Amino acid sequence: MNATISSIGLNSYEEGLIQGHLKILNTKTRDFWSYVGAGDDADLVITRKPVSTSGEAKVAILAEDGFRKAKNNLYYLGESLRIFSLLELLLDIEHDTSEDPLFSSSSITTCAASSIHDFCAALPTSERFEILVNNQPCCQVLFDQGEWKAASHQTKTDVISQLSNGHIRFNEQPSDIGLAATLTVKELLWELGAKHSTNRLSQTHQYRISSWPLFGTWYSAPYMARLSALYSKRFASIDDGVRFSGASPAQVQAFLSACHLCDLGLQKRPVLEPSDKDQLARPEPQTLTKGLLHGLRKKLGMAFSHD
Amino acid sequence: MINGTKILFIGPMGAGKTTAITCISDDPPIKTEASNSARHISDKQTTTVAMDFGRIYMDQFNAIDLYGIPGQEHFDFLWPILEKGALGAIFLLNCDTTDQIIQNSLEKFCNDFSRLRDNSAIVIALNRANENAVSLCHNWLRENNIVLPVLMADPRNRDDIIMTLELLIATAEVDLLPEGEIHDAG
Amino acid sequence: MLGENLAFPPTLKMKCDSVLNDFASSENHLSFLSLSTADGYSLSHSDPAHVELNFRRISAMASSFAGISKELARETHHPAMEGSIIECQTGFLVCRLLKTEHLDAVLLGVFNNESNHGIALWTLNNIAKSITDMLNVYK
Repeated sequence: MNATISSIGLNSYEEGLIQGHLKILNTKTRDFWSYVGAGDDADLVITRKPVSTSGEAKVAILAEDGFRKAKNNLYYLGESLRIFSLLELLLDIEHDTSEDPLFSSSSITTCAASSIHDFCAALPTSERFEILVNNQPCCQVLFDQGEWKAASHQTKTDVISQLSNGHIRFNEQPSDIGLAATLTVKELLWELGAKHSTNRLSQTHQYRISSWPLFGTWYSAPYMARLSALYSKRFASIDDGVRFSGASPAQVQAFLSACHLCDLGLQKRPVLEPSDKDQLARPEPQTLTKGLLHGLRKKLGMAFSHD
Repeated sequence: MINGTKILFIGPMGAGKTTAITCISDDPPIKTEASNSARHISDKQTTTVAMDFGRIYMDQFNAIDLYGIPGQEHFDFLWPILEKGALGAIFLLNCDTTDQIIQNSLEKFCNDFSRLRDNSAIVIALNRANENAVSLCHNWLRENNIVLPVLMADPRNRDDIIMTLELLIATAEVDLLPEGEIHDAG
Repeated sequence: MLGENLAFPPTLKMKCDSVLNDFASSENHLSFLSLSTADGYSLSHSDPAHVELNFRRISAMASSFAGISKELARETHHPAMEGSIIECQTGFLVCRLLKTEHLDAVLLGVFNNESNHGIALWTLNNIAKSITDMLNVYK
């Protein structure tokens, strides 16, 4: 998809800077962004002062310390036109305008986790960046041994707690804190999603994942094994997940959010009414095997055993 | 007569299949072990040459039968015989080796047990693994569009083997659900 | 490489091949002989006339058969199993476990319908003794 940027009140150096940044960023973004010159007729208008625009255009003001989303159509981009702030802005706009969003509403935690996810996906692996929560350094992220990892002076629990409670922004030129990165970003995102997400997923859709989460490596709870089994084998609704796992609806939704954040291939489709053909094709319940599996769970004291 | 449901333990020589079965079987398992002459592949004294067999009794009529395959490739004639009627498999893999050998093993066993693979009825349990080995397996599965769970497990540790069984049983129970109707499990 | 035992020296293999071929050619009721490690690697075999055989599979099957036989004997309180026999309409297959100083092996003799139990077992015992002596002497 093509998208346009215009500016109001910027000098020629700044206009050239936007065009220069876009040459690099267009390889990182979903849409192809082009700068169309001065004016307010574009998908995104970059200005020095607040302006009113016609239609659906987003406005980004060159003010404050760095990137911040103020409200739905208004962003702050920092005083200087830095490439990372512009990347954050474009990714955020693209995220907002996704045609078929998975979630009907997103929590602060998931927004933070999504931003980290998108930022890692867009950055060259040679880069390192810092995550600030409420303007305080939280952790640094760098690419190591094939994946993005986080380093912090704080414990994993504290990092996750901070990220789940505050507004985050990125610093693309951090000084090296001299710590080994031990926590994978996926592990971080998984825990943020699975424990703290309050996303709402559609009840009229079914979901499926195409990879299992890493049990024993990422945070796990007993109901997650059954949710993973269910959603990795077939499309199923939130209610199906609740019934099959004994988890609460919120836990099922958080689990699916975490799957999405960790790129486990979350897909959705509308709930299908079973056709006559499906009814005919239904297998007979295998009561013997079902009873045996239930017995085995009880006998071995497996985590998922209701009685 | 006892009704048995079959669970298979697969994987190359030295992965810990016999140990895992011994760890959870109610009876002392039947082992068909012979001197290991391929010490350059796995430095252990004996190796399975036909199968291992253990059993978990549910009650006086029902049991779960645990079959271990012989892991060396020249015994692959036995694999389809042992696979017949199996509910699923625990795929044990010793990761104290090179990435290439791990990938070759994944490919070999996922292909040779394709019926179970395609039904997502295999749990991959990595022995002596670290997080890099887990990532390696996870990535390999994704690249090959195979949807199977991966976890680290010590075959000597009963809790670890029970966790792998729990994942396997959870996937098996999904198959028992009629399409479009999911009832409370348990 | 699959089906190859790296610890078995080529010169010893040549000697075994020679012994097995001598026995097979001198006994009309003997179709062929196969020697494998107890864990199923092919070590040596006589050259069977007029048939194509996969000795990698035969060696693995012989060791599995010996392993099952040994466990069955132990389970029925008959430890120290020495061998096992398969009876067919067209002859016999006889397996013997060979325990030597350096190597545990399985010797399989395939006999045609000119043979009978007594002759087959007696013949294979003689071959087993020759092979065991040779393996024990060889350092």
